[in-house]
Order: sequence, then C-alpha cells, then structure tokens
Amino acid sequence: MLRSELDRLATQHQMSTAQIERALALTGNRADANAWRQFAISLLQAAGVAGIGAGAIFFVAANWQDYGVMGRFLLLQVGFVAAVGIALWWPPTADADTAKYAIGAPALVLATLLCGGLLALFGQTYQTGADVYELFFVWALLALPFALAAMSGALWALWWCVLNIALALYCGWSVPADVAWAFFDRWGLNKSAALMMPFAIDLGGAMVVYALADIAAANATTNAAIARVAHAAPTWLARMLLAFAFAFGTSACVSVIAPDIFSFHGHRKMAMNTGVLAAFFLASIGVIIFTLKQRRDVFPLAIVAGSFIVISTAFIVKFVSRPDIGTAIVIAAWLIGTSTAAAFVLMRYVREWRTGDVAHAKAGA
Amino acid sequence: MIADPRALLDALALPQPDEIADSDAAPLERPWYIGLLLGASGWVAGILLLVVIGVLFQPNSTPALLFSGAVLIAAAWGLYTADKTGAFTGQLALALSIAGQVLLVIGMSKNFSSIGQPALAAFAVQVVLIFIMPNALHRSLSAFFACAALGVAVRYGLFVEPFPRHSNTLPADAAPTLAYALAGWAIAWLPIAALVYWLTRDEASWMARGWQTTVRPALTGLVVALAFATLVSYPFEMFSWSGRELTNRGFLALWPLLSAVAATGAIAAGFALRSRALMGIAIVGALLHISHFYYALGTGLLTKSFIMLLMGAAALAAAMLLKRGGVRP
Repeated sequence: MLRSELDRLATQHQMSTAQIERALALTGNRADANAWRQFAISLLQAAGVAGIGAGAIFFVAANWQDYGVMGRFLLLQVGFVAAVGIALWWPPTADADTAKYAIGAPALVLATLLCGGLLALFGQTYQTGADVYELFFVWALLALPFALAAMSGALWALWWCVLNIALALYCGWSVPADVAWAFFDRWGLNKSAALMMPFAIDLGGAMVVYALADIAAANATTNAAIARVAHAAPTWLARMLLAFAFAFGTSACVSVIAPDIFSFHGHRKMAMNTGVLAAFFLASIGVIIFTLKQRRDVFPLAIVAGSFIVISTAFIVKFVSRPDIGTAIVIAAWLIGTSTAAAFVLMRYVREWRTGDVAHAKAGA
Repeated sequence: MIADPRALLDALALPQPDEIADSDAAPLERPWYIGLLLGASGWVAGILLLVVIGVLFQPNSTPALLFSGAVLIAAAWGLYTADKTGAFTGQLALALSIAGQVLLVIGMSKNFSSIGQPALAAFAVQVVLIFIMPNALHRSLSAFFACAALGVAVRYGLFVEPFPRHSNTLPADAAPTLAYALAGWAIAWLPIAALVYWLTRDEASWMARGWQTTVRPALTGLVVALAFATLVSYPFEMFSWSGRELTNRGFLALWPLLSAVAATGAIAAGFALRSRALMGIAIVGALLHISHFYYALGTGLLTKSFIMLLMGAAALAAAMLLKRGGVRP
C-alpha cells in the first residue's frame, strides 16, 4: 500500500499515532531492524566501492611522479587483480537471499572502475595519441565480461554509462574534420543523423531490458540462464537507457530544426534531416505502441511526451516570427498547455494500469 | 504484508466505513517523472512570463516589484484553490507563482551588495509558500529551493566574497580554515538533515495530526535538497569549467565531500520512506558530489585520492563488521 493511500486512511479514520505506527509496519512501509541492517551493508559496500574506485581515478589524474611508471601501474594492477580475485572467490549469485550479502558483484564494479583507471594511466604515460572516445569504447569492451559475469543491474548501469560517454564523445563532440568522422563521411551522414546511432543503440538496449524485466516479473521462463539474466534487468535500468536514447534523439531533432543552437553548420541535407525527424517520429510511435501493449510502466510515455515538448518548443522558437514579447507569450502558453495535457493523459494511464494491477492481484488471491 | 485498505482497518480493529474510497476515486500519487515534467515546464514558462511582465509593466521600483510579485502569487494561490485537483490550471498557477517569486525576491533585496541578501529573501519567500500554496508539487519545489537559498545565504553570508567577482583569487587571509569551513557547511545543512531525520522518524505523529498534505510533499523536497541542493548552493564553484574559480578556497574544497555524505543520508531517508525514486535521485546526487570533489580547488588530487581511498576502505570494513555481526532471520 502506498503512503498516499495511508495518508488518506489516517485522515478518514482519525487514526492515533500508535495506530499509524502499526499501519506503517503492517503495510510494509516501515523497515524493521533486519531490513535496516541489510540496507546498511549494501549502502556501505556501494560507498566503499565508489570511494576506492574514485580514489583510484583521482590517483591516476594526480599523475604522481614519486612512484615512477612501474609503481603506479603496479598499484592499480594489484587493486584490479585483487578485485577480480575476490569476485572469483566469492562469485556473484542470482539467489536473492545470498545476493544481499555477496561481495562478488561489488568487487566486479570495482574491477570495472579500476579497468578505466588503468586505461587512463596507460594513455597518460605513453601518450598514445588516442582520442578520449577510444578510451571509453575500449573500456566498455574490456568491462563487458565483468558486466556479463556480475549479472547486476548496478554494473550494467555503469557499463551503459561508459558506453554512452563513448557514444556522446564520438557522435556528439567530434566534428567533420576529425578522423573519427571518416566512418560517417563514407555514408554521407551529417551530425544529426550521427546522433541517431546512440539513440538506436540505447533504445534497443532499453527494449531488451524491458522484455527481460517482464520475464523476471512473470517468472515466465524455466531456462535457468535466461532467468539469471532477467533478474539483472531492473525496470530502472530500462528507464535509464530510454532517457539516454531520447536525450540523443531529441538533440538530433533539435539540431535539425535549429542547427545554430548546436553550432551544427555544414553537411545540411534536406532529405537526411527529414529522415532524422521521420526516424525519430516512427521510433517514438513504436515506443508508445510497445508501452500501451505492455501496460506496465508509464515512464516511456512520459519521456516521449517530454521529448515532444522540447522539439515542438524548438520549432516555435525557430519559426514563429522574431524573438519578441508575443513569442514569449506563445511559448509560455505552449509549455503550460502541452505539459498539462501530457500530465493529464499520463496520470490516466497510471491510474488505469495500477487499478488493473490491483484487480489482478485480488483475482490471484 | 497488507495491501487492501479493508484488511488494514480490520487488523487495526477500526470500524469499516459504509463506503471506502475506490482505488479509482482515491487521490493518486504522482510518479516522480511526471512531477519533473510539470516542474521543468512550469519553471521555463514562469521565466517567460516574468520576461513578458517585465517588458509590459516594467516594475522598477521596490513597491512595484513587491506589488506585482504579490499579485502573481495571489493569482497562483487562487488558481490552486479553485481547482484542487490541479489538472488544468496547476501549470499556469506554477508559472505565475514562479514569476511572482522572482519579482518578490528582487523587490525585497533591490540594490544588493552580496548574493547572500537575495538568497535570504528567497529563503523567507519559499518557507512561507510551503505553508500557503495548496499544491503538493509546489510545496516540494518550495522546500527544495528554500534549502538551496539557505545554502547560498550561508555560503555568501559567512564567507564574505564580492559578487560579481572580478578575480579568481581571494585575499590570502580569506581562505577559510578547516573549522570555519566545517562550521559553515554544518550551519547550512545540519538543520535540514536534522529536520529530515525528525520528520522521517516521527512520521506517525504528524500523520496523526493531519499534516500530511503539507509535510509529505515538503519532506520530499527536503530529501531531494539534501541530495542535490548542496550542489546548487555554491553555484559559482560547481565545476571548474568556466576557468574563473577561486584558487585558494582552502578547506571549502571539503564541501563536496560533506555533500556526498549528506546525499548518503538522503538515500537512507529514501529507504525509510520506502521510496525508490528518492533513493535513485539521492544516488545520482552522491555521484555528482564525488565528481564535483574531483574538480574542487583548494587541495591537491593526491590528497583527494587518499581521502577517497581511506573513506572507501573504512566503508567496506564497516560493511564487513556489520555482516559479521550476523543476520538474524
């Protein structure tokens, strides 16, 4: 039971403090001592891994000369081998009870961070001349086995973040003069079209994670391997990927509509720009259909709505007369109107799908 | 675990009402992402309305600014009160309120010499709005901005710093000592952390008093502020991208680290409130503070590296000790 429902019941029935305390406990809204202990262990483990990982990256960035090249590599490599060793000794597990206290997955998160640190140290020491995006791509590639082995939503999130930084650097920041652009030049793509590549990758990832999350929620497989993968696919990971995808897609569309905002000069091709808008539009329709069929998570509809508001506002800014007071009024009214309408529709689905869940649960009971 | 209201009333030995609100009719908790969509759009619309009002009416004098601000806030309050569900007029009300707040703050601190002055005015306005605006999203936003404003007021009130700044170095004696930096952070953020702790611990007590409609959204805003507003509260030193940062900030460099600890507290508050959204937001906040610590000037990267390594090792050791303490079923 949600707290909002408890709030309503408490007011309706004028509950006393003791009754509310009991209601909070009975409805699972108050953690007991055991739950707090489990939470504290997980939090401390995560903080520890983040602290050591950040410390290692800061250490590389500090470029400390006293230890010499070998010393610096050795320090990081010892940490890396120790993290991998810990993960091998206490391997990550999909079993819910033992997973709470398992150290294997956090150790692999640390190994992933140290892997990035080692790559940065290598680039810093030997001045390889590689672009930053190459570092992130190689990092993602080397960390992939850890993500596969850990079967942890947190490590997959980290892995996708690394990959998205690489994609953003490659497609977003590089300019046609860069060597990196050779790939796009071969296809005659402009920057807006290039931004659709990370959009497609993240969107595909999000759909896979949503499908796996559905399998996990419904216990719909007897295949142990698929079940294990499905348990490492939380809904929040799918939402994160969808947010990344639509950030890229929205940027691509805004850059088509108002190229001066992103300083995207040159390579403007009418047909290609239309293609970018059409592809984004079709993909958005696909996401809407997928979500309406699933009837589980309203987030994809919200992200499509948000994206539409941004793109349409960019369109108004670009094409409605010159910047004057009238334009400001039109944009303000547009923002108020579209966000209100979006919230109205989204809340309708939230209500409908939640009611459906409750009815389904009652029927099951 | 009980999910049905009738079963809960039975368990509490409370009489069943003749009719219990259907889940269809019950007010629905708005998911965080819809709140974000509304809040962001409302803010941008509010700033645009501010531009329109500024150009049309040109409220330059203090009384004109205060009057226009008060009128806009009153209009927002009227819209919220007239349409309690907020389905259609809520966004307009939010935009009007934001424009009104900015005018009111400018009116209250016209010709300011330090940024601490308008920040203090903003803090006062936001605190009042938490209580008077009959809308959950507005209350959450007001609580968030009240905390950010308090942070800015303390930051620029305690550590005197000219605004706008024309140099990227402070006088040598202006770099705060360790005690001064810690005290400054504590003055701004410990009261907020304490308030979050108290409201979370005594939830049943304020629920029994019927304060849910005010306190619940304010608590959400406070938790988000504990995770994020610590970053907003030193706006000119967030990340060293502008190339105009203070090079001798001394122990102020510790603030991002303290803010990461505060964000960890926000994660715990999210857990206590059983809100995954709040926990997720606080985790993002904690990671942002750690990356901010990387950029913070005032101490070397090597020192920062050792601090992080030590803190990480201490956290892992604490986790192991807690685990060894045994997990009783």
